[in-house]
Amino acid sequence: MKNIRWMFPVISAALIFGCQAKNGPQNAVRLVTTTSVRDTGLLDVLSDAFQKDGKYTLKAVAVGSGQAMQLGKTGEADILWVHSPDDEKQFVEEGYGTDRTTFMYNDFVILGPAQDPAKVKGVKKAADAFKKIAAAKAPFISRGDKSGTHKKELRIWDAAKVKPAADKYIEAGQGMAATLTLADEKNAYALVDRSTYLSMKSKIGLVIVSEGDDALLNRYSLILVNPAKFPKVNAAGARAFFDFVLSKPAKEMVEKFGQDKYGKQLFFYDYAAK
Amino acid sequence: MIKIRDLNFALAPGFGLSVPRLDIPQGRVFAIIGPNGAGKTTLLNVLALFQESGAGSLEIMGKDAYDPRNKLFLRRSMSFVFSQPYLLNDTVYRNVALPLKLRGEPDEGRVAEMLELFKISAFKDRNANTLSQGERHRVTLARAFVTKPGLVLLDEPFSSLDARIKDTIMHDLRVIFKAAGTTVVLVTQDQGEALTLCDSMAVMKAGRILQHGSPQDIFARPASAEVADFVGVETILPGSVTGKEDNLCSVSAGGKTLEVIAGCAVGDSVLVCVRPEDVTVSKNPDAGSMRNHFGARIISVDPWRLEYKVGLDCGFSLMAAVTKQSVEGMGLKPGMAVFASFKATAAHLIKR
Amino acid sequence: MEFIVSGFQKGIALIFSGNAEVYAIARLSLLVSMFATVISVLIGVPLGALIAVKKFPSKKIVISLVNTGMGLPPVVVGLLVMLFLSRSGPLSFLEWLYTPMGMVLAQVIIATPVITGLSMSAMQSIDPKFYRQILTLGAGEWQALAVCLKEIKLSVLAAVIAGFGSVISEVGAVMIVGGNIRSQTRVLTTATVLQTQMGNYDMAIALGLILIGLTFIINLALTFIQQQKAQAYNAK
Repeated sequence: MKNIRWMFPVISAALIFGCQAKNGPQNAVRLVTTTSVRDTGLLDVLSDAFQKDGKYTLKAVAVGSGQAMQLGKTGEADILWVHSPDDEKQFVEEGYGTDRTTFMYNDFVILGPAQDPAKVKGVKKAADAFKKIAAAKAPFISRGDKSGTHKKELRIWDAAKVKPAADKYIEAGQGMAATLTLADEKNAYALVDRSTYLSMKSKIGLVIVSEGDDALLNRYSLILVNPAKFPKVNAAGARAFFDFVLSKPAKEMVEKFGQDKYGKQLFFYDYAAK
Repeated sequence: MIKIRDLNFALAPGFGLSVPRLDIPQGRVFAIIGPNGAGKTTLLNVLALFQESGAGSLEIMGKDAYDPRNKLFLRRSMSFVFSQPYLLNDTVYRNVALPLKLRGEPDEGRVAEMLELFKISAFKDRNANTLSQGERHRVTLARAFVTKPGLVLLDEPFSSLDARIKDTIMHDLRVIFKAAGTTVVLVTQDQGEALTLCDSMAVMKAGRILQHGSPQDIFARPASAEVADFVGVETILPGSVTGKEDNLCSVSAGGKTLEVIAGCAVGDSVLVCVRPEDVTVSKNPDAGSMRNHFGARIISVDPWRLEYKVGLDCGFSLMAAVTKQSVEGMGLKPGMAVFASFKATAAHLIKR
Repeated sequence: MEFIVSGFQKGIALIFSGNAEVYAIARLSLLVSMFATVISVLIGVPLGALIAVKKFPSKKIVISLVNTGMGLPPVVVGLLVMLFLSRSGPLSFLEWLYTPMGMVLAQVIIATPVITGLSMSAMQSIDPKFYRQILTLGAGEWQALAVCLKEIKLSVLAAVIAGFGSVISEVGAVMIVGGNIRSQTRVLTTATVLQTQMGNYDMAIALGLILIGLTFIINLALTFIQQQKAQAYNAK
């Protein structure tokens, strides 16, 4: 009896160390990406494909674009996959990143309760939709986490030249799916990327009240974290993932993604993949 | 075996241990007695190497006890018995075997020998916590002796025992101590234990050794009022020597003249010590062989153990121990007039 | 209410469907927490016993530290461990960030004060003269500690149970240090959070039920052993 108890931790230690050996340091690539990429399930698909040949282990951490850039600025990440164009440009200008490549897009949609108290339905311009939401003092849930989605939302408020009522504007501080769940609970309006919306459509009661505006286009880019500035960065691994994502097979995977499940294409390639 | 020189240290403000010199030869059964707070346990703790003393020198079994290299060796050469039996929640056998196990030494029948010696063989497979008080004490003692240590230290080992059990164990112990030739240092408040078990003893008070010698010596001839008081001399009278013939001193005390065999000189200020056991109470005005014979009035008659303590006023206070039969036979009561007497050899003088 | 019930039904079905991902997550939770608990026991039990028994100048401060450690917010531990293990941190050479070993490290830091504190108070319940007595019987200091620990082994087992409980159900630290990476550092607690946020309530419930189940089984096993020993003690 005594012996068995001691076996357990010894075995588990061996297993954990074994896991560690597999995720050996020189093999690990740290990708920092957005919650929308993870929550839709696209990340899992590409991650599995990339790690298939066992050459690299992908450590994919999903945070908001804001935190992603922060991790890039301290050299914690090897490669970023984000969607916050202004911040990305600044990131590269300040020397933190290289090879910024905008390669993929989807769009945002404005979601709201089916009854649509702010009467947003049918409004074509996102800024106008926001104006109506503010005017109607309807509740609005924001990401509030400096993510790409959040930054996009703030720009639309800017364009609309209005501010929503403070007590009606709730900052979730969480990822895309979590924010959407919260908005659904509160029967509020929210800005959500279409892919995440589609992947959660069956679970929520909110509907699309506005879409199609160019301002709602959402572009994703890859950025390599500058190895010259951060010698600990796995430059080779990052480059490998970079090349993989921009390859033809990856393009096909991305464009096929979601078709069978949601009947629609969720992400569009905007890059001449090799 | 044990040599102490200039042991001096303070445990707390106002309380310190001060032993300029103490030798305990091998094979001696040595008692340290004294009231609470006298420092007896502290001294024992120093011998047991619990207390870091630092001052003076302590030699045990020929080794410097303050040298840390000797610590484990010395610890393994002695045994310490506390007043509470601290036994493992395990069988009696394994409890007694523990010291051997700790040293990695084989049994070789030593455990069985000890169980036999302390009369607990019948319990060897029982859990020690299920035994009676006396039996648990025997297990503790068996455990202390199993390694045949050169030195055994006991800290008030019988204080929590019933009188009867105590008597039985003490009797057995006397036999075992003598047979084993172990050096024993025993701390106790009970003079009876000291008298029964020991060859020599020391009386301690306030961190100092007041007197050191054989129990009989100390009891009959205490060196100071403090010692006298502690060893049960209940009558201590201040007086002065008024006359002397050979070694018979006439002492004026309490308005009367007492005759005491002592080595004092005329004019000495003394304390007369008389043990209650040495005082005879009778209705007989005839002095008989007792040089000291006084008329007295009974002040108190109090039961004490299996006898009575009778307080008397002879012009001075005198305490007598009287058997139950005598008290009942003579019908002693407070207020009665009687005669109290004691031998000149029974009293003792302490110079002031 | 209805969707909670259907969530439970789907959850239970998921557990028994042999879903590989669910089992992988459960296995990782167990491995990490058991390993961390063992290390914490190896450090905490002797340390707690030693603190209880020895006299030393800053004893009161050390005891306060241990007690404070018992109440340390796990998420703060996670934050500090992450900072230390990050590439700009002093322990970056370990390369344990976003790996199970990093999670083990965080859990060890969380569980060790708990186990130390409980071992310490278990030891303090022994009469200090008992320890001395064992020393006088010829034990070296560590030998004496081992004998004392054997006397309080029931309480020590309780400390182990408490230590394990404190880490298997922890979510903040392992999230921060592990990153909740699928099939690498995703454990029952972090996976439950993710599934809940994504609205996959059936999956979340399945994971939650497994977590409760595992915790229960392990506690049951340990308590069983403890009570057996307790019974033996009382019967004697």
